[in-house]
Amino acid sequence: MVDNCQIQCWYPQFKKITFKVKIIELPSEFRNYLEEDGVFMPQNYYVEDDQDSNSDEESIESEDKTPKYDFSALEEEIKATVDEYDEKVFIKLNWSAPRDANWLVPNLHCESTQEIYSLLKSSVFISHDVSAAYQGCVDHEGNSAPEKLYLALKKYHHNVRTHRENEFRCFVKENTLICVTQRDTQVYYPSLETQLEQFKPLILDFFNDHLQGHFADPSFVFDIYIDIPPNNKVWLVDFNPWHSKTDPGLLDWSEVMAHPTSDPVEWRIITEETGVRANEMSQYKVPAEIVEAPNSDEVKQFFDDMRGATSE
Amino acid sequence: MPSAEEQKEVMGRQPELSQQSLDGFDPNTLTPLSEDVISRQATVNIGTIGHVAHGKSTVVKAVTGINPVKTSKEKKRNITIKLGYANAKIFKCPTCPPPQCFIPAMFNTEDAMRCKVEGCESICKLVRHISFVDCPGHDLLMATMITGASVMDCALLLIAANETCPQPQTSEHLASIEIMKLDHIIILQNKIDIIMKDGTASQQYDQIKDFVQGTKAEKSPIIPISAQLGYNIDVLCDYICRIPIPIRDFTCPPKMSIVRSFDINKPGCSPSDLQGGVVGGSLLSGVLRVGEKVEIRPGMSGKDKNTGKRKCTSIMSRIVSLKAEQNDLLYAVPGGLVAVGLKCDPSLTRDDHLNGQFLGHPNKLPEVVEEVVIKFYLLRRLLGVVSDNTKKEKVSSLKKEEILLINISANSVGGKVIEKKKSMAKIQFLMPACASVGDKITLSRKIVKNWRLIGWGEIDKVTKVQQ
Repeated sequence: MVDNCQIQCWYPQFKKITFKVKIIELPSEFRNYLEEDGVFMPQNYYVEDDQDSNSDEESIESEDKTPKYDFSALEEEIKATVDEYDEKVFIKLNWSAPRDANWLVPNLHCESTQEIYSLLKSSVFISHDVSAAYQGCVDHEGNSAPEKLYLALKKYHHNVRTHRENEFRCFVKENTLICVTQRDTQVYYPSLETQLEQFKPLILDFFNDHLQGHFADPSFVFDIYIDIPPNNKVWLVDFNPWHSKTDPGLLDWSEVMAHPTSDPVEWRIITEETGVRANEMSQYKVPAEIVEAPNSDEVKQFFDDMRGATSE
Repeated sequence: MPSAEEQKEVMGRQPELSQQSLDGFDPNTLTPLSEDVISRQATVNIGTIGHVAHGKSTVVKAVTGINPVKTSKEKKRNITIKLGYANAKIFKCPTCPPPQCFIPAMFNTEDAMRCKVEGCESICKLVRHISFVDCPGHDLLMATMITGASVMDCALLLIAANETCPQPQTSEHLASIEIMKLDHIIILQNKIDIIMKDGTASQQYDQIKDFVQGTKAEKSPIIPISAQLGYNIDVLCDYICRIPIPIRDFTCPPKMSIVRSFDINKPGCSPSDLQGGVVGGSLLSGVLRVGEKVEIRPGMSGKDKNTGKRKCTSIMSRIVSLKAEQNDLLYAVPGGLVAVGLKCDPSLTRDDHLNGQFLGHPNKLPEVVEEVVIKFYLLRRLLGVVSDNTKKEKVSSLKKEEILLINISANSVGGKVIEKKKSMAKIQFLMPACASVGDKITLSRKIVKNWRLIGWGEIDKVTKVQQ
């Protein structure tokens, strides 16, 4: 069921209700490129082993080395699509967008292959898609990585990125819409409470008309974005598996699971000023050591040394 | 500066709180205990450290009287990550004996609160306004580690009374206290109600004593509490009031580290109803006032159409409002997180555009740079992290064309290695950032699936970005 949530699987069926997307099958070596340590452009990885330069001697510069990867055909295809989409694309791999790496490319608004490659290489979310996507899946034994990788280039919609209050995550159990939550779980939008009343019928109609009984699984989670007025058009953004690993937003998976399909839909938004809160993505802007900090003796030593060091 | 009427209007929204005024305002006269300040804003930051299951949120709730996240249906779960900041006032009743005289109340409680003890009802005195920092955001934490200046003045270390001490996480938590440079710690033996009867409480007290021997928490008080039943919360408040008052410089130019930026306007609302952009952050020093001119650096960046080079324009604006939680302020001092309403185009602040940037007085902030020369030091081997089974790999040298994660203060930018010679490297920032010669930065490389610390650098030269 995780498979059904991959963009290359659902896009053909739902293309009419989602944003314009170009899906490119990535060459098999692209996985190797993504799994290489460090963030470089493909042409900067070389065939020879240059990992052994542990001595602080200057390593011989790269002139006579052969680049390990050549994705020129792919690059052409990406360029053509970026051109077609007015030089602004939003990218996604099979499942995930590199949302965690927005410190590298602001708003994930890509204009060039360099930006696309560096985002793909830098994102922890993308690494997860590449190597561990099936972790924790009961219906997927053996290999935890997807067989093929696809790059989706979405036409960049400025409003989707900037009006996060119009984004919702919707939970479907046995083909019944049971719960809906605000997607941005950190900010109180004063206007949302009144807006929600207008949104409710739009969301219900959208589900009934386009999704109910049409998705490959009877239980699933989908994300939508509602266009700002006067359009108010509902767009499908993504599908996610019915699984506790899918972020439940302001809900709790235990309550989602327990919600009877016969009960009215549960709508969940933030209804009170929350004050300023830290950004939930902030953990991806710092090295893993800071987030996990368990062996903090080492980390402490590192920072003590760093602060203590003065240039003479 | 807003007119006297305007000031009155803003302050009058909460007549039960102290009425701040900017007329004849002198930051020199303020302290973190000034009534005009603490009536509306927290000035002491307290970290809560402990396992979720040990009742962290319940403790915060017991003191602040508020639930961490309010949603359309009250959440039953204790969510740590979504908590953030919660402010509370501590009052002292002039009549009741200690510790009952210490009474916690919500951040917006009237200054002239009456004691709730039946028959007493004396008018209490507001003695502290505190801010619980559960998860200050990793960006601020990183800034703490780089500069060594903590965002917290004190930490509450939670231990569950019904478990033996130490639990594995407790050692980690104690370590994180050390790392955050916290000197003042209060240990809470929570859920004391569960073991009150069987007499194991004192046994655990001894375990805790042994455990903290030789650590920063050695001399810390250990308070048995039940957040659930509200037992000994007054004792906790008493101890919080004993924390030395943090020393703050209110007279130097203000510098705020931005951690959130947003646009709260309804989509498609008419320009006349449009409210300016809002940024939220931690004021590191100085005082901000409504009406004053401020600059945000690096501001907005774009690419030059012809050269493809990043350009940068700082944002010049004026403060139209200041808020601590929902309390309106006319001036803000360091403490808790402050929301700054600006007179700028809200599209500039949308979707956390400005995170990691600085706000301060015009021309008083660090330079915006696009390239730095650093003297760098690399680790020999990676430090360990739990989620990754990678052995402690050797760290290879910096390579030309490599993109690193650079953390500089609370900011994160991509940095491309342009040149490298022995222990000096020239690094191009992929996004302009505020930096000064002598600043320390951390260098991280993406290894296997995560960004990992590989070393640090000290800035030797900077190349300013074209404005």
